[in-house]
Amino acid sequence: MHKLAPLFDQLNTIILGKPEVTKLAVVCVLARGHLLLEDIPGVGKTTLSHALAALLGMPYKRVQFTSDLLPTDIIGVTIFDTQSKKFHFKKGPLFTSILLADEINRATPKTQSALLQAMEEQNVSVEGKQLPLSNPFFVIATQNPLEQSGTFPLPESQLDRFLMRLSLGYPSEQFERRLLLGDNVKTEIKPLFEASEVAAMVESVNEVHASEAVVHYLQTLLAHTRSSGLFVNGLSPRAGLQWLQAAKALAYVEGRDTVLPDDIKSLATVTAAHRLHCNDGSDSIDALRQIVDNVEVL
Amino acid sequence: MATLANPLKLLIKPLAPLLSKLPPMPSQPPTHQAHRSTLLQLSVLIGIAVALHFSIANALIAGFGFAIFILKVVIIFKKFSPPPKLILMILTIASLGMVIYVYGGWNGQRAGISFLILLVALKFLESEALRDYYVVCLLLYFLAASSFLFNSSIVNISLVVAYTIATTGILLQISNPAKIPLKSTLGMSVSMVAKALPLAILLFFFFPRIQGSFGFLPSSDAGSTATSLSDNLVAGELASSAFNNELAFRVEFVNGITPSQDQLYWRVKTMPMEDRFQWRVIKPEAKNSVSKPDNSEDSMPTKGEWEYTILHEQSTDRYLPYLDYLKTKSRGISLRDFSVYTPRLALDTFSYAGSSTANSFAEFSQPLNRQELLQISSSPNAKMQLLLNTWREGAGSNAEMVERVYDYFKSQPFEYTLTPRALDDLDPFNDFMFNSQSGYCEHYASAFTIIMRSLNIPSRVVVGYQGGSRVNDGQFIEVRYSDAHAWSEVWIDGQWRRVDPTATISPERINLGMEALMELWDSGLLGSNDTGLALENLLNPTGTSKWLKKIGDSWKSASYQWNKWIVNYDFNAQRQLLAKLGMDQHNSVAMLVSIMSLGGITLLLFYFWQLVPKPVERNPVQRAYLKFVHKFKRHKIYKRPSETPLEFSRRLRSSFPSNQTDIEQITNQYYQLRYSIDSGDSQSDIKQFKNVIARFKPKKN
Repeated sequence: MHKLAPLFDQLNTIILGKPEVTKLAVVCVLARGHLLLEDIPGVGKTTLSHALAALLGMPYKRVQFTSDLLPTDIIGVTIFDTQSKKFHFKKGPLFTSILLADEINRATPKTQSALLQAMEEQNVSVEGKQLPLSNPFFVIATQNPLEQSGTFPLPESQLDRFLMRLSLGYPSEQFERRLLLGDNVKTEIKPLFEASEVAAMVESVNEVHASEAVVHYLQTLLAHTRSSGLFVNGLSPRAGLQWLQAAKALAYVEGRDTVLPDDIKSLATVTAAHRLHCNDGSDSIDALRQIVDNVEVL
Repeated sequence: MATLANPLKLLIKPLAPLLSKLPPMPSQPPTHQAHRSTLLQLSVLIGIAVALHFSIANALIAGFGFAIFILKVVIIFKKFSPPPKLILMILTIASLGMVIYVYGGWNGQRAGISFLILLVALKFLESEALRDYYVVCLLLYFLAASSFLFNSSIVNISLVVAYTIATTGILLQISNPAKIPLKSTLGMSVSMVAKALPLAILLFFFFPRIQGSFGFLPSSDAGSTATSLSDNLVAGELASSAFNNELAFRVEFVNGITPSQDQLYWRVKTMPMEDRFQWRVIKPEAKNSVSKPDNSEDSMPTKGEWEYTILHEQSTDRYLPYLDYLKTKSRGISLRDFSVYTPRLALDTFSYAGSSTANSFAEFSQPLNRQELLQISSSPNAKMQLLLNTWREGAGSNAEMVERVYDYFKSQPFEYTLTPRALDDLDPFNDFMFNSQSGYCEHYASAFTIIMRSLNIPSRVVVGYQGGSRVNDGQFIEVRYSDAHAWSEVWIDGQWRRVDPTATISPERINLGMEALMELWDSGLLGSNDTGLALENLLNPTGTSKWLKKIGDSWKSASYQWNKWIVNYDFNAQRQLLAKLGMDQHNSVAMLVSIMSLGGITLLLFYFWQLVPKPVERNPVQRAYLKFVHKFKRHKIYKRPSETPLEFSRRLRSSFPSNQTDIEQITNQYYQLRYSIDSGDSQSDIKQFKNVIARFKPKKN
């Protein structure tokens, strides 16, 4: 039995009827990627992110993003200690392993970019000094669909830093009934792993083998996003790297030591769709499916 | 309707998979706006076109075009919207009316080009969307090509190529939503034009040329710039042509055997009719003016003859220059007076060959129309009568009389001038002989011929060219309108003899040519004591002038070769080229057409063949797996190309429950061989995999 099985058991009792989403969320974390949960309010985004952070046994902090949130509110602030007559830096919520950024698109671009620098560089600059963040460092952000009012949409360059974008969607009828009947009794969430265990798992994802044939398939897909003319810009090499890493993590979660084309294929929409913008403004998920359907895999 | 549509569908159906492979069409037509800087560049190009138009056509039309153009430039600068349709319509009708008013109709190149220019300007004015500007650019290409109707020199084709590159650059810039820097635009358009050039050259030489002209081709207009020698010789008029440096024709002598300068008498027309010191030709309409059936083409040139080809510039003259005395010719009809007449005018430069001999043509002699050749309207005055009597007295023969008159011209202080004064209206002949005593060749030829006729010797004036300048050490000779010359021909002892009184008045004109004479004239040294020194400098140039002459000669030579091989390349030249390439002369056009269409079809097939998906290289494991996939064909189950093997196996599972384990095993094994770390390293594994697949048989329940 896979050592991740208890994690999925727990997660699926908290988030009912969404085993695929919970699996992908775990894959995202194991692939050292930041996760963006995008959905309408009230479907369990925050619940999922909380549960994931708690179960993995990693220190986590939660920040509710609002339009008046300032960069110092997440990075921290230097204050003057009257007792010691010295300045010292009071670390903000950023200095943790998992940062839950709730409703990230409600904050102003200034605050968003402060967070996103940290996501990319794994450290922050405070008063000219580079302060390292904890290792590993994950951001699990949630956001409302862009059509909602009072939001500042994330620019493409920042969306590109999220490994995956997941959405939960409405629960099915059966699970909604169980939810309403109170089947998912909220018990105390106990961490299942030590922080070091998670680090070890993240490390072993790197050992999953990706054959040349799989890389070729991935490369063909990347090339198609660039040459098809459907998108404003094709996928970046970073997107390709992250996609492959996610595929490795998926193989690891499924207990395999090699990446299969199926891994690549099934991750296409969650790892690539949020980075692409259709020329004609239509949904990039559909366009991406169209591309996947046009690439031969053997 | 349906019956009509069906065959079409049947035709298209097999092509459908190919058509779907065509490069993706843009999902929407481009919606961007052309940049203002691009439009300004385009307006510069159009401005150049309109400005150049001033040189070939009516100033009224060019001015109107220019006004429209300025209006558009203002619109671009001020970002106004284009004028309303009504105004555009009025402007269009006005331009049409103007063309008809100025040229009296559509017909003719000038009218056509003028209308085209106006249409370009109007289209430019109207343009708003991208496609309008595309149309403007296409019109500019057409306009550039149409300039060949007027000028096909090297300079002009270089300009047209430059113009094409510029237009292509603008097309590139217009069609690109982003701004491209000028330098890279230029680079791209140069490379595009360069790529197209070989095809253009190939088409130039091998595209079937059609003999004769189409009925609908616009004819050359009367107002064209081509010059000619007049059919009338009026004293003083030929002299003015001395300053016309325009090229008349070029001659290349075969085998480099060139006559000496004083033998270069190019006969164009003879003028037997005299009227008060003026001469004119007899139109060759009358049947008797045409010589006996001309079979001279058959006779081969013999020793002591000059063979040459003449490349004649466009001309409105119906007489063709040939060297005296004509032996064989390839163009025109020989007339009784040995001039050559062509009933059809060429629209452009044309070439023909001929051969001539230095000996006068006794065999050409025919019964003379003595009355015509002796008639004069200028009557000698008393002084002249005395002179005539002294010449007649004691002269043993007509030849001796000719000698005496020639000596008289030599002994008297006659002066050769390029700017002769006007002669007395009533009695020009005597006025010239005794008062003015200065004139150009036509004066001397006229006076001499009148004296001959007064002495009862049949004679006439011949008008043509004398000399010409030798380019590149005599590689070819350029004859210009300034080389126009008139001389006399007298009938002595049953044959025509050339007498050129100018040769005695101004030997430099005949021995050195008009070019040298003009140099002397310009420096004011003609006839002075320094003539010798000036001539020395002229004939043996040193230093800079030597270099200039060399450069000038090289340019003339290049220009000659260009005209000879490119401008003059016509139906016959193409036939000769094809014959050299071993193609039958008689159906060469049909042959060319078939080769062209074959080439076109081949290109098209090649294009489609490239669209056909190429078989992808498969490794042995893949081939084995495809065999497995193939086994389901019988059950109408196919693997979609984008389907992963695992997805395929899942799909199979429901239809082939009995094979389920086999299918799973094969799929796993395939994944193992293809995607795992130790893939492909063991041949035995592959062999075993192949065996498993060979044994596998899908069973549907």
